[in-house]
Amino acid sequence: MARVRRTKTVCTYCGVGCSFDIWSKGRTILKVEPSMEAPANQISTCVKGKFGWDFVNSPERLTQPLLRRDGRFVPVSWEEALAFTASRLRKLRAQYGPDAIGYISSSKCTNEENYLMQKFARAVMGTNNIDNCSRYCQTPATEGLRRTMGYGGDTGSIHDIAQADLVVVIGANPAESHPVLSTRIRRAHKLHGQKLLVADLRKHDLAARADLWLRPRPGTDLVWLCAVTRYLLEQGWVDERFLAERTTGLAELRASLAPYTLAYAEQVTGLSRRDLLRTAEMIHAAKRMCVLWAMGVTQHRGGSETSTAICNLLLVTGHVGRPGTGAYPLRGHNNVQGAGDMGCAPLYLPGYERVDDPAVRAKYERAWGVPLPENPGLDNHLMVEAIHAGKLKGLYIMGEEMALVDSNANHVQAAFRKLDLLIVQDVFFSKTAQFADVVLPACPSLEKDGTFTNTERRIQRLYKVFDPFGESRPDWQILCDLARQLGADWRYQHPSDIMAEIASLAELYRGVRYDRLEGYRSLQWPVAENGIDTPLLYTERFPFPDGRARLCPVTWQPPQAFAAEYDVHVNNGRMLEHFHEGNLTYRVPGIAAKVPQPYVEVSPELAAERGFADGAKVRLVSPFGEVELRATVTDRVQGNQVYLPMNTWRDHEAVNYLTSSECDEVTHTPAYKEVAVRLEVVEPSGPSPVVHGNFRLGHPHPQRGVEVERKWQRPDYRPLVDEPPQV
Amino acid sequence: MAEPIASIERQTPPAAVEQARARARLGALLAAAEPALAEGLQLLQQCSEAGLLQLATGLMQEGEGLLEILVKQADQPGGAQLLKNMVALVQVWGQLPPSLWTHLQAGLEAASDAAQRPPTEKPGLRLYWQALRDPDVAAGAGVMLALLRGLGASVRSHAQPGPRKG
Ligand code: SF4
Repeated sequence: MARVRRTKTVCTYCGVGCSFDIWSKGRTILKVEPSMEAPANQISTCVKGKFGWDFVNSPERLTQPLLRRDGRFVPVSWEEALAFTASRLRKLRAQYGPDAIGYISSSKCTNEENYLMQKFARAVMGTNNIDNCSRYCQTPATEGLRRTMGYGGDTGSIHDIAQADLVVVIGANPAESHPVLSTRIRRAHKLHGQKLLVADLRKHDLAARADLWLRPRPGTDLVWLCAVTRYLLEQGWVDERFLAERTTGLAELRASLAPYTLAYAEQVTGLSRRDLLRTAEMIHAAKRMCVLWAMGVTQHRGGSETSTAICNLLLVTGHVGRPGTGAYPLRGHNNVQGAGDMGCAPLYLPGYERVDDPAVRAKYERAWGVPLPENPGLDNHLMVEAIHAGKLKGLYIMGEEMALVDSNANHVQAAFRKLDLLIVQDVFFSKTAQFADVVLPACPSLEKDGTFTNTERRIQRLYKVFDPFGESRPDWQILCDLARQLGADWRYQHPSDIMAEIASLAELYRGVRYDRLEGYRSLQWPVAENGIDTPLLYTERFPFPDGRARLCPVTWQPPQAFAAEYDVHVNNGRMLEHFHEGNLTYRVPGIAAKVPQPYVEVSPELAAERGFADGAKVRLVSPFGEVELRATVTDRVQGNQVYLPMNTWRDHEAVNYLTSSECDEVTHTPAYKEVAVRLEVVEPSGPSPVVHGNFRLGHPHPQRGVEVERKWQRPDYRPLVDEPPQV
Repeated sequence: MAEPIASIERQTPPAAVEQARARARLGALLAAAEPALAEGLQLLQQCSEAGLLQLATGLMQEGEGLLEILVKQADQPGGAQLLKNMVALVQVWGQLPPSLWTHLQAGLEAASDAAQRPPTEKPGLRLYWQALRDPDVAAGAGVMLALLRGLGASVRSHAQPGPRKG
């Protein structure tokens, strides 16, 4: 008979990295129990972490490898699937060369799996064509941080955010995208006098609570950031000592800010002079400031530049390297940070060591015993274009729903049709898998051991709760099996063996060992050989040769212009209850009952102007495709701006049929937030897509905690003890 | 051109294949748990020798003959005192006439009803006397007196060692 077991794991639904115990019996989850030991979340979780795991037993799980034969998928044995895959990879490489195949790793997989995927691409197959889906979200933030401060990671911890006097949130909706992290801000704001400044198009939870809410025009954040930075410099409201001792490039920055007057910012952003001045005053008044940002900043053509402008502002005001200060690009998925750390990018080996550095390559060649490719690789945006150009013939995608989550989905799917070989490794039969030649059934996090690195650079262990479902296998095992088929001598018995190799090679992970991560223990990189980690970066120096941060001039990239008929701007992002394209969370009955489908949020003004009501079915048509779904009328959005959550697996609702192939010029992160459409009314009324049980129908009254004193003061209160309560 | 294939056929593997897979899974489990299994077998052997397996099997198969099995087990050398007590209790229970349980149940139901009504006047000696004239109360009091008599006799016989009174 099955015994009740208690296993620690780490949530895979966002970059906060909540950890908790899963109580299970057989394959049944009895409960999810967080504890005070959990370093990122203590006793908190959100609805996904607490209830979002039933998909592990879904009858729709992939349980056997599948091969495409005569227009259908045929279940086959692992031996056959691996032999087929290896032989097709060999043939393609022999015919077109190693750079004719691309490899997409996953920010949902473990560090160890990401490490193996890039090692597979480079050491087994001989190419730098390796990337991961953090390219879709946070690579511009990493770029901004690396340019100015040196490391591509949050500079401190959630604890620092809670300690700050002023939290600035730009283009992010933490209450839905990083729920537990947002509770720390809400608590500090309500109880400890923290000030909150939010810049966002939409009246989301934190915007509604903010002391100052800026609603700039889409894609203009860089302009107000530069204008405020310029104003602070003019007023002398900067940290002169920090600038003198710890930075370089002030003169160049000052000169580059010349065009960004307050008047110019007013004109471009639509913000009032009063609000711009108030922003500067709030920053000036703060002793400790943290800036948080996410996809509202990064998913623009100027994403890297705006991220750099944020870093400049923090450096000019000296809000780096002290407790309660710093830069926090909120990582979207659980292991966005780790996938980058592990070298799943064309230009970087693990620990962000550059592929084009001969000394670095030599180190890895010694360790892996093979010559490594020198050619620069393709990122996932360039891979799609290379397929269309006939240069890339094969693609191996691990754990990513690229057909729906890459921008311009029609364009991406057209590319998949052209491939000679598509290998898809996933938990469910995804949209991407429909195009595959071979589908390899993989395990979700609850069925494997490994580590994830959260948004705070915190490395945490997850332990296997269940055995693999059916014949599915953990991704690291599949990679090992395939590498052996291709002649590599990979003998990892357990993910800890892989981590030992990572630690031996990547400086940032030098002191990471499984025994140091036992249970709820965690380490924040860089980790020294002796196991000492670094919760707060840059306390003494920045990792540049001169130890100083670099102030970098930036240029504003105006958002894409569209023809006049596309008169509605489509903002997009996540909703609290669902994850990514929804392959997992829509298979959790409790969650799907509360939010069975996505919807488009439309302002009351726009609904009135176009003559439709809540529940209407509307069609959104962009130059690249169209979607059709029901509308909810809400003042969370204004004017001609609508909001479309990205969380759906159904073709007719997926936002990426609307997005373009435009991208950030430096990192090629798609400009998901630069979308304009024509709105057509299909049915002017209908059932509301926001159903009973959805929290958005509620009217929250934020409290200062339990407020038991109010109960004590009621005239009808009868104490249960003799002593009167102390108020 | 790889056109998308929108669905997969979920093949139910033939029974023989499924059995082979189950055997393979079991084999792997057996191999992995070999030391624990060896100890487990030893334990099972000892349980069998002590008759515990017979007890368990009986419990499962012969719900009705349960008492007999329990009594037999209790008489085994080393049988647990608790088991004996349980058996004795069940025996006493079984010897009481079924009608007594019916009467007791009826009495308890009436008492429960009375408890739910609001209290009436404080009962005095006169009220008790009147109540005893009710034939139901009189019959009940007779039973309670008999119970007290039996209880008292037993207590006295255990308190004063000597020949048992008939
Ligand atoms: S989704 Fe994020 S906030 Fe919610 S439990 Fe998971 S890690 Fe925590």
